[in-house]
Amino acid sequence: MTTKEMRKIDEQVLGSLGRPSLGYLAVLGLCGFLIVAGLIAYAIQYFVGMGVCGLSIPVGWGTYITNFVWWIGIAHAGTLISAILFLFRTSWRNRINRAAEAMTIFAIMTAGMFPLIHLGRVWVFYWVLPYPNWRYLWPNFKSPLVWDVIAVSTYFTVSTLFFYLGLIPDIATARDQTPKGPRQTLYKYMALGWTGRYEQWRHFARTYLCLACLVTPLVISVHSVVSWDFAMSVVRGWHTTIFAPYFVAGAIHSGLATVLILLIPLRKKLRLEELFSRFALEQIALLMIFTGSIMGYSYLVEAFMGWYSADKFERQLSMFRAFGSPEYSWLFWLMIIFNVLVPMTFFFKSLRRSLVWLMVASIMVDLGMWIERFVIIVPSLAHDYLPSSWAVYAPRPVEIAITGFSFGFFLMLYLIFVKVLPSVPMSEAKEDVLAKVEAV
Amino acid sequence: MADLVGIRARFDDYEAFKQALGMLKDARMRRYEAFGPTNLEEIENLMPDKGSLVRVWATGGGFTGLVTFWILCIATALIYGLIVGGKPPISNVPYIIPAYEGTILLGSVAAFIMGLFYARLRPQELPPDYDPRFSGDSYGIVIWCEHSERERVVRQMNEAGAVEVNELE
Repeated sequence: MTTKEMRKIDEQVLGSLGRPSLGYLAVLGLCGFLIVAGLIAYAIQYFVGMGVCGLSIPVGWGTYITNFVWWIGIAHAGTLISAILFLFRTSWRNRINRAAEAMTIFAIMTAGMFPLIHLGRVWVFYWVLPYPNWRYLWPNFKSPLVWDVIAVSTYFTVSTLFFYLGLIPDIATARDQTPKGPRQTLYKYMALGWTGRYEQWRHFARTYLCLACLVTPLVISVHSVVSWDFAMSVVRGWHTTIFAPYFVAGAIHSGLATVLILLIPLRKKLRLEELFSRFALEQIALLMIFTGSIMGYSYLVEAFMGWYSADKFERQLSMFRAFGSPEYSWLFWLMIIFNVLVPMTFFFKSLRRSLVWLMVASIMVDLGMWIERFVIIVPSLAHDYLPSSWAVYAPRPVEIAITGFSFGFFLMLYLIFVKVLPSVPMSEAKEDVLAKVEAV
Repeated sequence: MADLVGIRARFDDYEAFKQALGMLKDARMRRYEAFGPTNLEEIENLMPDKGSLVRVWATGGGFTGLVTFWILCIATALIYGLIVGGKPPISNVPYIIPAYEGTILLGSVAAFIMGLFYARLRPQELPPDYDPRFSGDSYGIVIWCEHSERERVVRQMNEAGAVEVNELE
């Protein structure tokens, strides 16, 4: 009974690594197009200068920083599912954690490009790294921007180690069941001689637990640090203590939506419906009710603090965001609808069990979260203390093309991943089979 | 190991596999290895070796990261110790953030490297006692015993429910 089911898991997962379909190649081609368009746009920005963007005084942070914060947020749900739910021994995460972890790594890689793109003089990016130099100048470790570099690079390193460690037993399975050839050679080296010996499992399990324990506080800290890029500055709409939990909740909210956006087509196209169960998707939808509620609460508290502070600048910014700006106020209300009201539809069982609605709602939430980052960043800068310097910012074609590049880059990495590495943790799925047999 | 004989038993059933390990433990055997496609941490009390020092290394790595990053912040502030607005160059409160990230970074790297080291994971050829089915759908036990114990061990494995028992060359 168990042998048959375990074999079936191997067949399903390793079968998904087979020859790509025409649809897969078409999406890959689309990604290639977005990447090429983005590279051309970046080349224009590189040679012409930052003037080709809509950035100006006072709006110095625009689409690129919005993209950075948004992509970092996307990464968070992967760690929530793989590490935090692992520590809580949540069994439904067992089959989807690999897909979510891969999303984390690719999202951090995508996010990491935006500060460099935004930098303008990208060739001197290394100035932010601590290295001995003849000028005796070092990064200012009191600066949130330096914290950000350290936090994001730590997050990428630790997430990659965690992802690779979890992959080792499954790569060994792939190695043993793949015919000789370049793919098997790749698996052979990546599996590091894994044999499933007790000695290996013993140390593997402890290492995995240690990394899960370490990555859990890290995921909370990373988006807190990202939020402090804003909260540490004396800009109205940014300088508030609520930002760290507000950003972390928002990050997980958008990340969960992205997990759904990726898993729903993936389970169908790779014929993994049994492994990526509807139950797991439903649980993610339930989690989104929770994170959506936190978002709603945060929006209310933010408005309340604006009013309760009795600071005229704070009050006018709250009013400006919600009612006073023909350019931005509609985005503010769209943000509330997408991030708070749409996830509340998951209270209805029929809606959270409908894959079509899960997909549509997740796209709306992701869009809503991007808008939220934009609404936080841009109107606060556009409407600062001096009415004489008020301005309106809108992304220019170069910024839109580079944003498209980020989607193409992320999706291309993800598509390559699902065809090269096992997208379902087979060993953990087999543990589920054993647990089920024991329960019977 | 020249005068020892290796016996490999393969199990389709996890309970039978655990029962066989229990028999080996009761018989006070010391030289046996278990293999499986799922996490075998659960069988720890049936095996001669227990625990792992990985967490100690993770703690050590974390502490090293904390100290290193804190010192980095202080030392670099002192290299260019310019007093601006009467404020001292060293400011410990903001240094908590790099030190915190350093704790997690070096703690994780130490745990990962030592985990691979203890599990002896590196690019290598597979050992002769390994059966590729152990990474798929079967559990396995390899026992090293005296020639005189051979028959008893084979009988015990069969009694426990092994689907295949053979002698290693």
